[in-house]
Amino acid sequence: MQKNIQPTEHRTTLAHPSGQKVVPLHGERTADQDESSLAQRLRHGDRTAAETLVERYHERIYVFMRSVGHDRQTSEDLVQETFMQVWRHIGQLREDRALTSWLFRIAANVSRLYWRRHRHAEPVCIDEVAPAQDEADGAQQAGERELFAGLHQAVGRLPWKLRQAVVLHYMDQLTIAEAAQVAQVREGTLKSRLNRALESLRKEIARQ
Amino acid sequence: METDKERIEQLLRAFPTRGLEPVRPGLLQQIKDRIPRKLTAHRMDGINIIVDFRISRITAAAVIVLALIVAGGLFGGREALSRRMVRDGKVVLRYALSGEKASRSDILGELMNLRDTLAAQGREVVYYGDRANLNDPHAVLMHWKLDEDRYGVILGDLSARTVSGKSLIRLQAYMLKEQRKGSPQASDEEIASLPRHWWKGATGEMNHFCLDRHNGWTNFLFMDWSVRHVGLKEIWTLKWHKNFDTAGPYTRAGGMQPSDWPAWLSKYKEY
Repeated sequence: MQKNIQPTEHRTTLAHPSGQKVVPLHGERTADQDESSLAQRLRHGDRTAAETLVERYHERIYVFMRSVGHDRQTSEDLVQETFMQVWRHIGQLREDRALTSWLFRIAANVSRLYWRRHRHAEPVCIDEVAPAQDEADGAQQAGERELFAGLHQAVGRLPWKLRQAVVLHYMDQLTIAEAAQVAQVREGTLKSRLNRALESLRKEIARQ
Repeated sequence: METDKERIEQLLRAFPTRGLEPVRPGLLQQIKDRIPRKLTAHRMDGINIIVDFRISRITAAAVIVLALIVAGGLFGGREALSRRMVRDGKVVLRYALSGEKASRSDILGELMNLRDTLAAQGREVVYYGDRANLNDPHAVLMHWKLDEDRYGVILGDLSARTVSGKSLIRLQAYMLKEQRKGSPQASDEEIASLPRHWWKGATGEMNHFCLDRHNGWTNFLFMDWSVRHVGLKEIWTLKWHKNFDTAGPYTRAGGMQPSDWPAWLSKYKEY
């Protein structure tokens, strides 16, 4: 019987290989207390807390938008739209709700709304996936670029539920619990979606 | 196979840093510039409640209409405006809740109530609902005169419009185009035995024309392109075609008595 891979819970701090970024792509993971106090300040209308929120999350939301298949320009627009929705619905941020999952749920809704309004559009963006430039550009890098491009295409072809699970957990590095909260499903359901998505990606990549 | 999956997991984790371009540096400032000066929790007004609870649009519409009905009821339901509000609201509510499943008779029943209300107010109401195709959004179900060259119209999609006389004629011409044509006989099956607006096929052709839409009158277009009001009982005295007997059994000349007509026709002028 096939053994299912249990999606891992590990988190890493990622730094862009270009080295241009002082802030790592995903930012430092904050402690729960930090997040809770930030949420509390936001609820009280603290503008500096809003700026902190943007600094901390805008790149992660951008990664989410790009990974689910939007092109660069659309992703930028949708990141801005996500934060506009956050400011507009800041009153709905309840104390018992985790800030990260609340924010990503808004991002997911913004993305889905975009797809719904642009049904005719291709689910996978037409942009070439542009990996970071390395000093040495060799055959290995070209192969890697191709590999990531293929992966991006394959992720974009997944059904929305599976794509959302993969992007949230692997690419945006939310924990299973957080990703499940965003997708509004139980943790077991999310794990099952991840396994189905991985299996589907494996077949898709093997075919390429 | 498991190794493949693990490899894919690694690639997926590495994708944001190695497979995506960095975020445009100006984006952060752009978002910051759009932070409102005052960050306040929104008010829990009606619209926000609907948004917060993710009520579907149709349910939201139903809730709003229900509120209108209740409000109309609170004002006593006796005043003309609130009474109309209640009636109109019921039509829309039924349609909103039942959608495609709303039965034709339900919708027409409510429209006839509305017609009676408008007629009681002394308005010139014309009701086509029983003959109109409810699936045709351009079909005129009912219209009434508002003032000189302005008419209120209810169309097949249950939308209410205010149109000019010319537009109304265009709508009616469209309906006529869709209407069935007929060739009645003077000896068609006895109308006195038929219920109102009853379809009797080829032997009851006159029932397509003897319709109580204008308080005992109907509008006829003649071959000389003239148009005039014709009494409902008068239509049996017209020369429909060369073989039509204008003194047939449904005319005074043919011996028809007022008591022979069905109740809804008996009150109208004899011919």
